[in-house]
Amino acid sequence: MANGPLGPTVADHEKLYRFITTPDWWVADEKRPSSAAFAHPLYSVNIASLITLEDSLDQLHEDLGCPNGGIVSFQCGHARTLGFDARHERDEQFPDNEAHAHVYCHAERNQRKKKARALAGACQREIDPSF
Amino acid sequence: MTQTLERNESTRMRQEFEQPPGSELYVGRYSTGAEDLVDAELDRLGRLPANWDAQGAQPIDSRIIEAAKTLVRLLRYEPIGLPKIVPIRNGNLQFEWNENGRTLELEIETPSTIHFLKWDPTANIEEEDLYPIDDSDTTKTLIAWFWGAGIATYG
Repeated sequence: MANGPLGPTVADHEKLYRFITTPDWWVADEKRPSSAAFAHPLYSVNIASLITLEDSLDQLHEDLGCPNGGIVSFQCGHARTLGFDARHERDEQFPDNEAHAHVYCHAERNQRKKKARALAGACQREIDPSF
Repeated sequence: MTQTLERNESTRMRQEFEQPPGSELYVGRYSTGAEDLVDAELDRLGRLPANWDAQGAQPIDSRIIEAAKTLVRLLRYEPIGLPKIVPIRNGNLQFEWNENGRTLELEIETPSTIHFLKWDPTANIEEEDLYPIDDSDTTKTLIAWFWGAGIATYG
């Protein structure tokens, strides 16, 4: 957890789902997320092997109240090579979500935008947003 | 429910910003009309409530909004095109230009500092750094890089 000891490392082979909750984070012309979706030292994802895409979509639509939001995915191992470390940790807001993980960005200040842009470009589209 | 309605209104305003009537007139030059559009978009972002990303984002810092408006005014007569203005979870925002995989980002990281990214994988360009927000020459140079020579003249 962000305010305590780190949770278990998420394995490199895992696929991670990232929610696109706002149209401001979607580059429609290129059908990819903005780097802003990854430009933070800590953000939430779901571990794909622990939850279906459909259940993730339900979370996005119902729990988070984003009926037009989308989902992209990326490989945990690739993100790790860029400096993003995924840890299997509980979501304080939705503690029943067993698939939740936090992604921590360890990039230096003058590297973090490159890392975020690279990850945004590496994402696969799972559910396109319909903003 | 209230947050959903606020998000819907925010979405409508963002769409009007990205596709204003006659928006093609603004591509390649920077007019007073475009400045008004950018100001309106900044006002919209300034009104985003806490948790605007539904995952704990902070409201956009009012000092960042004001710094962005000052930056826009400094560029009033420059051919910068219409950027996408993107909020960041920690209360910052960035101007973004994206075309064919090339990206220029100008993140207003503090009221006095811009953190930029030049990104063009086809040309092996991946540069980022920080500079003072009042260094307009650097801002103009970066934007000219993005657009290339094609519109680097006054329209």
